Amino acid sequence: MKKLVVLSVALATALGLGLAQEIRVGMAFDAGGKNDRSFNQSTFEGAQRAARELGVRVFDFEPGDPGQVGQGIRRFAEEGFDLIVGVGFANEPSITRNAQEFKDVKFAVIDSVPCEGKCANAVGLVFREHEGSYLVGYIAGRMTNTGVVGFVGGMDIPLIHKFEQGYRAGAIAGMRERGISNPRVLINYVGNTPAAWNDPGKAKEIATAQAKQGADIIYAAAGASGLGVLDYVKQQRCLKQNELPSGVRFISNNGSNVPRYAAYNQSCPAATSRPMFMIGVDANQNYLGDTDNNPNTLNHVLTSMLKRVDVATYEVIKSVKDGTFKGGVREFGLNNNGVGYALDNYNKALIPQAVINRLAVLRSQIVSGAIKVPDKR
Amino acid sequence: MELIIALFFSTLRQAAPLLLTALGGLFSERSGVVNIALEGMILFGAAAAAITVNRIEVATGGLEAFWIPWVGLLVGAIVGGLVGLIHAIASIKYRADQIVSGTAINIAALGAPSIVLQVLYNNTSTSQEVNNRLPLVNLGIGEVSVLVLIAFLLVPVVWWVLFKTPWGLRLRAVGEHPEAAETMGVNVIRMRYTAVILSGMLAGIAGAYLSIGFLNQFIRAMSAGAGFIALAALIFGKWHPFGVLGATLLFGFAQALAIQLQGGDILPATIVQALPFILTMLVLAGFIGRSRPPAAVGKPYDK
Repeated sequence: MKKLVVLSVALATALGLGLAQEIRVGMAFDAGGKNDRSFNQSTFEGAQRAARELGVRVFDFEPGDPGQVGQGIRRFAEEGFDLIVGVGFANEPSITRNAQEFKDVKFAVIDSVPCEGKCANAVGLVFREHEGSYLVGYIAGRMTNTGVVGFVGGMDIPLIHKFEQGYRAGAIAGMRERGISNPRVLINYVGNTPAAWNDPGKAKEIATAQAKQGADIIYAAAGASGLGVLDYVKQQRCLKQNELPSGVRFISNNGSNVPRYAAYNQSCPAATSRPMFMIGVDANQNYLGDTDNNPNTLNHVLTSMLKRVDVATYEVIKSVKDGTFKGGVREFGLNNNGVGYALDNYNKALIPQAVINRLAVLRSQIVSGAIKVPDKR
Repeated sequence: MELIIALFFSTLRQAAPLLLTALGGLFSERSGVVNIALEGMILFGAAAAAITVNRIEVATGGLEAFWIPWVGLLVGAIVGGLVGLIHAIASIKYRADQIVSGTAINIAALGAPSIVLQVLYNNTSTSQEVNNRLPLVNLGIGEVSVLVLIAFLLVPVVWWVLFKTPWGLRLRAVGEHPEAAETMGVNVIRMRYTAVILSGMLAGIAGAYLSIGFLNQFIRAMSAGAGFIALAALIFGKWHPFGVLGATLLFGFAQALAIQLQGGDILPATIVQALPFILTMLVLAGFIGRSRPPAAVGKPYDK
């Protein structure tokens, strides 16, 4: 019996030493879950990249419902992980509490600042989403064929108001440049509880209502609910002239140069309809707009506002590995490529070179401060 | 006019899953078994339907055929019914607290589909998109899913079954006074099993409406409280099919109206979002009066 105890102690020590050399990272996800094809998934990919390139071990915790958010963090801390990343602002209270208790564990929160920035072992990774949203809003403003664009937010909170306000300002700027005198941006939210991130049915209803008011491009910053908006634009495919509300008409035929897929032509006559688009968020969702496995034909995602949570996650893991981790706040914006817009095979035919050139100018004007993008209502 | 038509269809689409679920809950509660598990049953049905359709599509190399979504719907209903059976065994055979059993099912419904999704798609949050959806029916001024139509047609059917057939009379007797029903030769236990399974099947169909009717994939927790709203509609509609119809239409309309008003500047956004709930409370307080549940509801039956 005694031998057994000694043996197991020795084994435990050896295992402990073995593990100690390896950096262990705990990822605590938000209600959307790690495969939401958006925010959570993007951080997951950043962590996987770190696992591959830096040789760290990544463990994850997914809450089964919004009520469980934050619960995995304490367990990670008790096991003495090197770094614990809370994905999403909902994890902030739990990270703050544990950071104050477990001083030798390092913590990071995405989208919120733990301990009001005062913990040496906790960092907040925050983004200037309004800057990236301004650019995709500008694209929407330049590409809309009706002069009406839409925004579908998830939960009605200040974080999502940043997306809304940036997008709105960008869309209005884009439409004004084209001489549209009454640019309209329709703004809706799915709800005001965390359930709003997982309610694609309601998001689809909102998209329906916005399209009925003439919106042909809809930006969805709504987590998994955004998939409802995507479903709507892919099912509907286009706005038809005879279904436009009074006061709205087709003012241009942008995107007519892009070859249509077969099913599109059947339901949407070229002369009397215009394609509908969603704008994706956080991750590059451009590929989701494809209907025929052919990027060259029309795809229904115009672009995506990239919020490089994957980069932020990778960077913070790297800083732990390199020993350069610092508590406080790290900001990611256009200046350090923390936000941006997605351009790839799926949408390069949709967005003209002139618009891309203007976006580069706007980007530098935002970075220099010449354009001030609003971040709150 | 456009606005009214848009509101009308939005109301129908949002009322349909509530109506299907509440009509199911009606059977369960009329038989004396509280069914707070409706929310979970919707989710199980939604997951089963979407996964079935996707698996058939994968197996047949992306076949598009009219029967595929119907098989999905059937599997959704069966899985819903099986979950109903679990609730029935717990609360009828083992006389567990019906609220506890129901809550357990709701919690399981948030986790169990993720495990299946992980195995099939290596993804815990969503199933793959399906191409074979339940068909749309053209009503002249717009299209609705065939299940929306079925949901509304079910209302008079349920009414007829409940109030015009011997089976319905027995069901109501079992929920009001099971001992009396038993002395008259009604098999209380069997009636309750049937009613709870039926309730699960209808909730499963409501789930299938979400995942392969209105939308095209299963997304975790996608019911977003529909089961609880259906339960409220059941109480609000006084456990009567036409009452339930009115209540679900009111909820559907309030939600549709909130979406339409949100974009405009007529009312502050916060009030608009609270509208469905404010409206419900006003109606409850003003017009409905006392809502009396079946006398034996929630009480396990002891011979």
